[in-house]
Amino acid sequence: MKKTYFKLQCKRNFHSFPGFFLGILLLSLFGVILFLGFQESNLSKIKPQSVGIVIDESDNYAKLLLPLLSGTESINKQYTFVALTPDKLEKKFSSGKISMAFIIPKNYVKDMINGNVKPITVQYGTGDTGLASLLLKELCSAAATIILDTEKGIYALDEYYFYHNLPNQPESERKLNIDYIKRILMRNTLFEEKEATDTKQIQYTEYYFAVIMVLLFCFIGILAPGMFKSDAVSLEEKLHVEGFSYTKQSILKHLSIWLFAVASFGVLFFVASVILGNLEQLPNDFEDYTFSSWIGIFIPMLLALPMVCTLIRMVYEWISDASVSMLFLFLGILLFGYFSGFFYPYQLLPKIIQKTAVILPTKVSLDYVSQCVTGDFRSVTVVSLLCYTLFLLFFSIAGTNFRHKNIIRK
Amino acid sequence: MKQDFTLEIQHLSKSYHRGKKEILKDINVSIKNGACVGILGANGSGKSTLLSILAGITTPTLGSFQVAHSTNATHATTNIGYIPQENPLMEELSALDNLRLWYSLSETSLEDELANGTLHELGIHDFLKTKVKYMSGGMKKRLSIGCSLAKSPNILLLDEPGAALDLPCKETILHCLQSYKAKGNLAIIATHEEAEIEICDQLFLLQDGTLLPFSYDGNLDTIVNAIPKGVSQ
Repeated sequence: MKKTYFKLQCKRNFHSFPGFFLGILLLSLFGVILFLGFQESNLSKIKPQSVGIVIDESDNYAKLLLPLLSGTESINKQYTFVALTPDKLEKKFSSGKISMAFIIPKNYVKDMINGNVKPITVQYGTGDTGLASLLLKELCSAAATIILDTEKGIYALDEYYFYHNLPNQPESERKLNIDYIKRILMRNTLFEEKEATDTKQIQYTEYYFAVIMVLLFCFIGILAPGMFKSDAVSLEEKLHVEGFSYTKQSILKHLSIWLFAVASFGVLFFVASVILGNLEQLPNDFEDYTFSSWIGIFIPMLLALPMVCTLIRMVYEWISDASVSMLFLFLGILLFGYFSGFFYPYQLLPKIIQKTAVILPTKVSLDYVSQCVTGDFRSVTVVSLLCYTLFLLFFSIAGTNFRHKNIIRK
Repeated sequence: MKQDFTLEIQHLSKSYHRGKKEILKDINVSIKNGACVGILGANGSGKSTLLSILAGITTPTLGSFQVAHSTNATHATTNIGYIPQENPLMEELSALDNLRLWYSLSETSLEDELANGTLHELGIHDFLKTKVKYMSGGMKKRLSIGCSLAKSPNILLLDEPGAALDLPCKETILHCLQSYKAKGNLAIIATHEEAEIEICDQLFLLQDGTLLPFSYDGNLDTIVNAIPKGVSQ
C-alpha cells in the first residue's frame, strides 16, 4: 500500500506541473523584462560615480585638489568626490559607497615643489566593472592633466626660481619645460594602479541572481498549492487505521514533493542552461558561461529544494486552509526575504537584522544558492541546509500528528 | 454466507476536554451479523464519535468492543469498513486511482469488481476516469463506499451516507446496503434519512451519551419527538 500511496502522491504532484511550469515561465519573463529595463535605464542615465580622495589631513595643499576636481565641469556630472582619511578607505570600498579612490601620498604638493614627485595610487573596487570602470579610467587621464597643469603653474611661479636660487632663469625654465613635456608624454607614471583588497564587496549581479533563484524556489508553494496541501483528514485517518501511520504518510508525502520539485526544476534548469549558454548578451559576470557552466551552477542548487519544499509543506500542514496558507506564505516570503537580504543586500542591513537573519531558513537557502553561483561551497552552509531540512521535516510531521490528536467529533 | 459473529460493545465511554465533556457514557450493546442497524440522534449527540471508535480511529476513554465469532473471538478493526461524512478520497486523482490505493491491500481483483461486483453495482465504472474534484456528491459517496468495500469487511460503518444526495443516488446506496446485509454482513448507519431508517432491522437512539433501543412504527413524528431539540453542537 505504501508503494501505491507514494506513486499516487507523485502522480498527484505531477498534475501540478502545467500550472507550476506556466507560473515559473511568467515569473522568469517578468524577471528578464525587469532586468533588461533596469539595464536600459542604467545605460541611459549613468549615475554619478563616487570617487574617494584620500588625503592626509595635515596636507593643506592637497586639500585644494578636491574643490578643484569638483569644480571642473567636464567631470563633476559623472563623479562625486569624497574626501577620505586612509583608515576609512577599506570600509567605504566594502560597503560599495565608492567605486574608486585616489590615494594622494603624504606631502604630495610639498614634494612636488621640491622636484620629488611620488605617484598617486588609484585604487579600484572589486565590484562590477564595465562602463563605469571605463569612465573612471578616463577620469584618471583628466586628473593627470589637472595635476600636470598644477605642476606647470607651480613651475611658472617666480617665487619658485627665487626659492631654489636658480641663476639662469630662461635656461632653467627651458629645462623645466622639457622635463614637463617629457612627463606629459609618460604621464602614466604619475599614477600607480591597484585594486581594492577587500573581497567581501557585493557582486550585485551574482547576488541578485541567487536571490531570484531562491524566490523561484519559494514561489513553488504558491504556484502548486495542490501538491502541498494536506490530504482529506478522513483519508489520513483511514490509512492510519490500516497501519500506515501519520508519520509514514507525512514522510512519503514529503519525498514525493521533493521528487517533483527536483525533477521539475531539473527540466527547467536544463532548458535554461541551453538558452543561457547560447545567449550573447549577458551581464559581465556571466558573459563567458557555457552550457556546462550553467549546469554546474544549477545542479547543486537542487539540493536547496528539499528544505524550501519542507518549509512550504510545514506551512500548509499547520495552517489547514490552503488559501490562508498561500497568503501566509506570500507575506512570509516578503518578510523573511527582507531580513535575509532578498530585496536589499544583507551586508548593508542593520547589524541586529543580520544577526537575527542567520537563523532564518530563507537566509540559509540564499547562502547556499549564492555559493552555488560563485562555486565557493562551504561545508557549514551545506550542513546547515541539511539540518534545517530535517528540523522542518520534524515540525511538519509533528503538525500532522498534532492535527489528528486534536480532532473533536460530535 | 459468512460465518456468524457478534459485535460486542462493553462499557464504552468517551470524553473530550480532559473529561469535562462526556459524549458517550457506558455504552453496552451486542449486535449480530446479517443486519442493518441504524443509530439515530440529534446533531452533536456522539454518533460520529461512536462510529469512529468502532472504526479504530478514535480511542475510547473507557471500555472496549470486540467482534466475537461463533468459534473464536478476535479484535476486529481490520475487517471493519468505515465511510465517514467527509469522503476519504484524493481529490486530484481519478476514481480508478483512488480505488487502486485501497485495492492494493485487498486480495479481490479490482477489474472483476468493476466488471460485475459491488463496484459495478454502485455504478463506479461510469466515472472511472473522472477526477474526484470534478465529481458530484453522489459519485464521491459511491466511490467512498466502493473504496471501503475493497477489503470485503464484515462490518460497514456509514456516517450519514445519504446526506445531501439525490434520490437515484440514495437508491443505489440503499440497494448496495441491502445486498451487503444479505451476504451476512453487518451495516451500522448513523442517519437522519427516512429511507435509510426503513431498511434498518434494529434502531438505537443516542441520547445524553447513552445508546437506547428504539422502535420505529413508520411514523416520522415518533423520531422527531424522541430526539430532543437544542442538543449541544
